[in-house]
Amino acid sequence: MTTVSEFKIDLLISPKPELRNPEGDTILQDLLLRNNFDYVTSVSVSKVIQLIVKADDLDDAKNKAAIICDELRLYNPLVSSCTIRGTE
Amino acid sequence: MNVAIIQFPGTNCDIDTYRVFNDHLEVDATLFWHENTDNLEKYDAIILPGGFSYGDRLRAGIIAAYSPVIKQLKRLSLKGKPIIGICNGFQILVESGLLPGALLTNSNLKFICKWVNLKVEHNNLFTNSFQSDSVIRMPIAHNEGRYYVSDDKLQELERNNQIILRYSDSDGNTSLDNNPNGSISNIAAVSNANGNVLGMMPHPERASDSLLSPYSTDDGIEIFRSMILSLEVMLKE
Repeated sequence: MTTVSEFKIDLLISPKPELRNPEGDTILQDLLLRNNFDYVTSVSVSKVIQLIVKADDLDDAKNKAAIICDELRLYNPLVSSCTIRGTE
Repeated sequence: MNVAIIQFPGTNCDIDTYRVFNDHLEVDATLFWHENTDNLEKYDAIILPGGFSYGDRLRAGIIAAYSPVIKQLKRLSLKGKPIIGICNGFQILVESGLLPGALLTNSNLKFICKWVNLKVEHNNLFTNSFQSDSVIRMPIAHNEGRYYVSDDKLQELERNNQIILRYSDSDGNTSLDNNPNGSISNIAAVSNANGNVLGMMPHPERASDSLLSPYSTDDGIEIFRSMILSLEVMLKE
């Protein structure tokens, strides 16, 4: 018998590197570099959407999350990428 | 003639648009709730007005893009039905794939509300009341108006004359100095390849009465008038 469990899935939605990331640029230029943290060379701000997913196992939960991402465009593939991470 | 004005939760430019059609152009307009399943085919044109559909949650326009009415719009757009998306309406058209590209957060990370100069790049269904290369004035009011397409797609838009308006100065110069939000190639309005779907960040409905313009202009109404005049010609044919 298959047991269904709940899994915490994080969708990390990041802007594609070729696009300007003005929020990241502001953090880099006006916060980090201005305060002499000059060992940082790049900052990019992403978004995390957390889902609790009922699934047979972690892979199943990630697959289900991937389907949602693609079918409902939780991220815009033209301008961003999506990394799916999960824990039980 | 009858124009449908689509309302989503959070739409707030619907009544202004309605008044422009009914009061200024004397064209019947109907407010149409997005969950209404009536056939939109009977309307001669469809407007997606501005606002903050679904509070801009997730991404401006994305939740409205999955509304039942969008399925109808996709079908009707293929039949050549004129469709205008203004501001949040433009964001909805982009998110639903009816127009190419994406609209990102303004490069200065601020909501921008100001009057801008716009160069009319091409005369089509929505701009044929203007002379080519005219400079017109309308207000913008948005947080996510930075238009983006890939370089390849940008070239395709140029080749197909799909770039309809560009941010410019009062002489029509489209330099970076005149770009309020960081849009690629100063793009303020684009059409689909067939030219019957227009998305624009500026608000023509707020620039349709000279009383409301700091310049005593009413350039915005010409966008709607162009469409109506074109439709009248099409209906006679």
